Amino acid sequence: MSVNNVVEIDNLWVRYRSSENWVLRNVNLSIKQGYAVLIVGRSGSGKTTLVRTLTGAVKHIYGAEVRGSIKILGREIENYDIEELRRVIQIVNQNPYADFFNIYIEDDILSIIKSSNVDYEYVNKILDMFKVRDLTNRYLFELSGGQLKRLAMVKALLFNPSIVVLDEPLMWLDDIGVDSVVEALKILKRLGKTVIVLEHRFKPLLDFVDEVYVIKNGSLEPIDRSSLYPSKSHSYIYNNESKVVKGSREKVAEVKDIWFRYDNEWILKGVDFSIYEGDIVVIYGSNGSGKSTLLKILAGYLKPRKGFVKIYRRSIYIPQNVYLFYTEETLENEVKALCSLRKGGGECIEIVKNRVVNDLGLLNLDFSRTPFSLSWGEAVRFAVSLIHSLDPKTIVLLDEPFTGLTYYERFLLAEYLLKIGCTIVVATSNRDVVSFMYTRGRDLRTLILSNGRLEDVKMGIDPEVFDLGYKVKELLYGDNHRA
Amino acid sequence: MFLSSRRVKKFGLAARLLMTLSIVIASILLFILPKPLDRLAISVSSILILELLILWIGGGLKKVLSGFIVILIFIFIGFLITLFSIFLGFVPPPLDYATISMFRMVILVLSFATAIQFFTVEEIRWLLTRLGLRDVSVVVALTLSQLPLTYIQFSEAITTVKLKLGERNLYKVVKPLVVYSVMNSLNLAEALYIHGVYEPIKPRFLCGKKDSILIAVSIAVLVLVLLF
Repeated sequence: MSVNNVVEIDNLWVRYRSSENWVLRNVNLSIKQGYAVLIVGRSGSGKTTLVRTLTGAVKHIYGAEVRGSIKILGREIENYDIEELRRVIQIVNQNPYADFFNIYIEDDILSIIKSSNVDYEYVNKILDMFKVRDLTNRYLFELSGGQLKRLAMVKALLFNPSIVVLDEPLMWLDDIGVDSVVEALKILKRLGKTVIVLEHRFKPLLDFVDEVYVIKNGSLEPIDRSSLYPSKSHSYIYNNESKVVKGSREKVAEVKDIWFRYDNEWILKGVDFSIYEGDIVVIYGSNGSGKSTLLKILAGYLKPRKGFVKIYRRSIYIPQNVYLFYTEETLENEVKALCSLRKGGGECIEIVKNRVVNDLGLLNLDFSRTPFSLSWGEAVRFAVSLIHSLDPKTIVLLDEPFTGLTYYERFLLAEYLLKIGCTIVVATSNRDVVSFMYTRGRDLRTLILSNGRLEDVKMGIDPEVFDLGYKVKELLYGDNHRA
Repeated sequence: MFLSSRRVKKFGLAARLLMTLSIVIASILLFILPKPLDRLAISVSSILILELLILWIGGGLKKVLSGFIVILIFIFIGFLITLFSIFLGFVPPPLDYATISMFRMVILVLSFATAIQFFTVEEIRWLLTRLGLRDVSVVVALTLSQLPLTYIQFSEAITTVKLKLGERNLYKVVKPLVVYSVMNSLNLAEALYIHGVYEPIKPRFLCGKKDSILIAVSIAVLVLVLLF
């Protein structure tokens, strides 16, 4: 092993107890000290398993079988005790809420400082560097995803590790949160840490990383970083079709001057808009701007303090965590449950199943599968297809459906939502979603929710995301892939 | 209701422990000791005022309002029971007796709420650890930190299932929530493995003059209930 290599993985194989298949197969990886490495891969490709393997959690928490060698700073991880390992490698989880043990952030940080005799001067320095000093006197649930990710990085640095691994650090973040996390990653690198990032939305990270690897079919291969940059120079184009095209279409929902507040803070201040049959509406806003609240008001779950909402059609809500939509053991039972509500028997079940299969273009879809085994993108598409097959006139309300998807999966989902033909309202905090939804052939209404107000706007469209979609398709799925 | 404000740390842990213990004990004693109605009324109102004061220190006006909601719930339940007993042909208790009995129950329920309200999670963890219940302390801390987040997921699932399957099938919300909880537990287990569980910070036992007020009030409460 070269002295400079802080991580050395040789012929690594990993499989979980419940599975015959190896998730990681013959993985080889060497990472030099101070390098920033990006690992990309499709959902379920083994990225998170690789992270778990680097700390031994895959074996000790998940009971997986591990073969091969993993050396951290030249020493096999099996030869570290867990306390030593924590001082060498730290992980920032996909779910930042799991990174904090105490509900009060300061208590969490202080208990590590006191137990591990961390130097206060060092702590103050990193709190200032990551601009989180003011956040430590807050409760866990009061903080946004971006704030928590930065705090989780600070927590990781309390152990002063040589290596920091970040699993999907940009997941759940709005565009402002993404910028703040990318800045924080640059600080990690400046501090001389070796940084390993596993991320679907890699575009903001390309200028920061030194090496890129792709994980595919359980194996890891290095790729040329420059091959991921969009190939052409594009200029922003503007969505001139944000005006409502009413025509003869029927109004399906009407929101008039609604106000809503949590505790003393008004989150919606006089929101007005109407939805017409077949509309595709994208509501863009930062985290905490009230998008989910607005969707829940449209869904009839929350009642506005002032104003009124009229919904003339049945509506269905698909939450940010799409798996909360699924209530049955199998996809077949999902169809049955919805058909039985409409008093439809076997005929309904067959019709809906056929429509879903045609909708999704998946002739070999196995309905005996549990919905919880679907990938994120599949789970969203199956839910929308199911609703649409039962009643094409349903209004589908989707809260952040593009979270956790690769650029190609985003492209596929956008394409699917636009082709299906039902009335759709999508809430998102990512500008690239607007871009993916824009040029797919139908009128798109983009509304920005900011300071409690909703405005019809022209939003800049970034054509580069399509290049990224195609590149990711070639790289991770193969040229002929069609989901 | 169960999350305290950091303001409670202005008082020492010992004084707060004494105060909450005296309130809980006094609330229980009021059920055991025979007392004339007028004296019972004075004891009950004094303890109720103290409990509302603790709620105010622990969480401000909002928590006090939550306390009043508890009182309203008990008034409503008492009213229903009285109506039901009249309907069944029983003679309802006199209004003053029924009112004081109802408030006696309210202060007992609130005494447990205030007991939690007067300590931070870290202090509860420290106390449990000192009592040799380290594992329980970890479970309590994790539960309290995950509770608000679980509530958010619960609200999401309710919205989804209500629209998908209707109110009659709301019970089906259990399955996705169980799946979420299992996944979240694995995430937490992994995070604990990576970060470790650290000893809780030792709280301050005494904070000077302010504590003496709490100690005096705590003794006064017990004296009032026992001797008056």
